[in-house]
This record gives sequence, C-alpha cells and structure tokens, in this order.
Amino acid sequence: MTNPQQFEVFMRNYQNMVFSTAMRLLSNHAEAEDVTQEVFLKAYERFDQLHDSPTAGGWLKTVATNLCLNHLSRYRSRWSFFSELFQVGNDTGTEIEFMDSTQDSGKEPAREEEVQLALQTLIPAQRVPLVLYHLDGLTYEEIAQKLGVSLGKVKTDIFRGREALRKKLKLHFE
Amino acid sequence: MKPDYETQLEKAITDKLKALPELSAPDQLAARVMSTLATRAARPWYRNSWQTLPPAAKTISFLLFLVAFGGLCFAGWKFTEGNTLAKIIPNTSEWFSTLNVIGNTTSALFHAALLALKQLSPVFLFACALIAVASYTACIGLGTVIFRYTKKSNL
Repeated sequence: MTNPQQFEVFMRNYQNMVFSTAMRLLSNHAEAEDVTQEVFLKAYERFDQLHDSPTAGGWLKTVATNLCLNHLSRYRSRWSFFSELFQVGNDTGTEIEFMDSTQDSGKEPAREEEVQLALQTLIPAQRVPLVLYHLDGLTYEEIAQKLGVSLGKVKTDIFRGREALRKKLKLHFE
Repeated sequence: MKPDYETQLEKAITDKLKALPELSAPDQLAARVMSTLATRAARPWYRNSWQTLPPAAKTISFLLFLVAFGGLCFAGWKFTEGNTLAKIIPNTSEWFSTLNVIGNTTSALFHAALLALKQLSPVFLFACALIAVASYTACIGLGTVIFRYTKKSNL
C-alpha cells in the first residue's frame, strides 16, 4: 500500500520539474497547475513501481507532456485559427519590454526571465514544437507524429518560432 | 538564408532554453494533491472507477457482467422464439396508439415545413445560411478575443 508521506516527499522532489514542463507547453499558470495535479494523481496509482525507479522523472515528464498536448488539442484547436490571426503582429515584429532598457545587443546574455517571457508570448503553434525540439530533445519526425501534423509544418513552425524568439530577445549573428 | 545562420540560431535558442531554471510549483499544489487523494481514499469502493477496484473484485464483477449479458441474450432469444411476443402485441398496440398520433402529427408538420421551404427563394435561404455562419464565426472570434485578453492579463 502506498504511504502518503512517502508520496508527498516524492511529489515535492519532482513538482517543479513537472510544473515547468507544463508551464512551458501551456503558457498558462492555472492550466499548468491542473495538469501537474493530474500527473501526480496518475503517479500515485503506480507509486509502488515509481518511488524507487531511476526513470520516475522521465515517466513524469512524458505523462506531463502528453497531458499538455491532449489539453491543447482538446480545448484550443477550435479557435487556434483566430488566435494565430490576432498574434501575427506580436509574432513578427513586436518586442517585449525588457527590464533593462540599456541592453540592446544580442551578444549580451538575455536574462532568464526575459527568455521565459519571450517563450510564453509565442503562439502555441510555434511554442509547442519549439519546446519539444529544444527542451525535450525530440526529432522533427517525432514532433510531427505527436502533434499529428506534417513534417513540413513542424519545420516551418520551429523556424518561425526561433525567428520570433530571436527578435524578442534581440539576438544578432555575424 | 545562410545555413550557417540557421545553425547558429538553433544553437543559441537551445542554449537559452536549456539555461532556463525550473519554475517553482505553487505552494498549495502538494496540499491540493494530497487532499484529492484523501477524498478519493475516503470514498466508498462502489463510487470509485472500475479500474481502481482490487483485481479479485474486477474479476468477479467481470464474470457477473458476462453472466448477466448471457442471461439477457438467452431471455431475448426465448422471448422472440415462442408465442410470448404474439400474446403481448395485441395488448401493447393500445399503448402505442398515442405514440402513433404524435408520430403522424410530427410527420404532417415536417411535410408542411418542407413545402414552405420549397416556396422560398434560394437567395433567401443562402442569406439565412450566411447569417448563421457569420454569427457562429463571430461567437468564436469574440470568445478568442476574450480568451487572449484574459490570458494576456494573467501573464
């Protein structure tokens, strides 16, 4: 039988990782919190296998990613067309407000908060494949399969997402 | 676009994203999960989902379901095979007379509506369809604007 105290310790060890995964994919605090809760409720059902498993972190991350993708496809696909229309201006030229206004060179390392904010303001169609590629290390093919879209769309969205991030973070290359 | 530029950009974005620290989960998250688990544990077994039942209970309930299903199939077969159905039909026909009247009225109304629809011009029908689509689109658009606005406020 699962010991609740043991499970609480387990949860406190992994909750930041799971919440970060959800937050980076969903970009919404309340939704990320709900998904994190759901992940741990699922984890509780198989805590006997997870609590001393070295792959527990990987399992939690995979479940969190899958729940986020399900959530996005379930609740957002219907109005994604409109959402993306309204974000075009944001996506191509508008730059977010930086806390340090003197910083105008991309060679300076952008602060973590700025990167976090820039990532959150990307449209889901660009943010999700970008996170899956750069943070989760998935290949283009795996992302296309997970999202149920074409390989070409994944490549285009990731490229546009990188460009949008570059503009938001004012990165310049030689 | 230079391929070198794309490689540099990919590397820079990877570095920036990988350098992001983990976000702190809300303080009340653990308490919420533990409270949900406690509520679930306090629930009587029959209110839990079938998947959460112990294996023995699952097997027994599955066997009971099979027996019930088999019994139902057997009863249905016996019911239609013998004279049981023929005996019941004359009695039930009276019960169905009211339903028959409702059915006839609905059918007459449907045909009248169809006839009226045929009299209308295609332009009018097209305009109606257009208004319906425009209203639906406006609802989704308005919902999206509100969603975007509230989401922006939350950031």
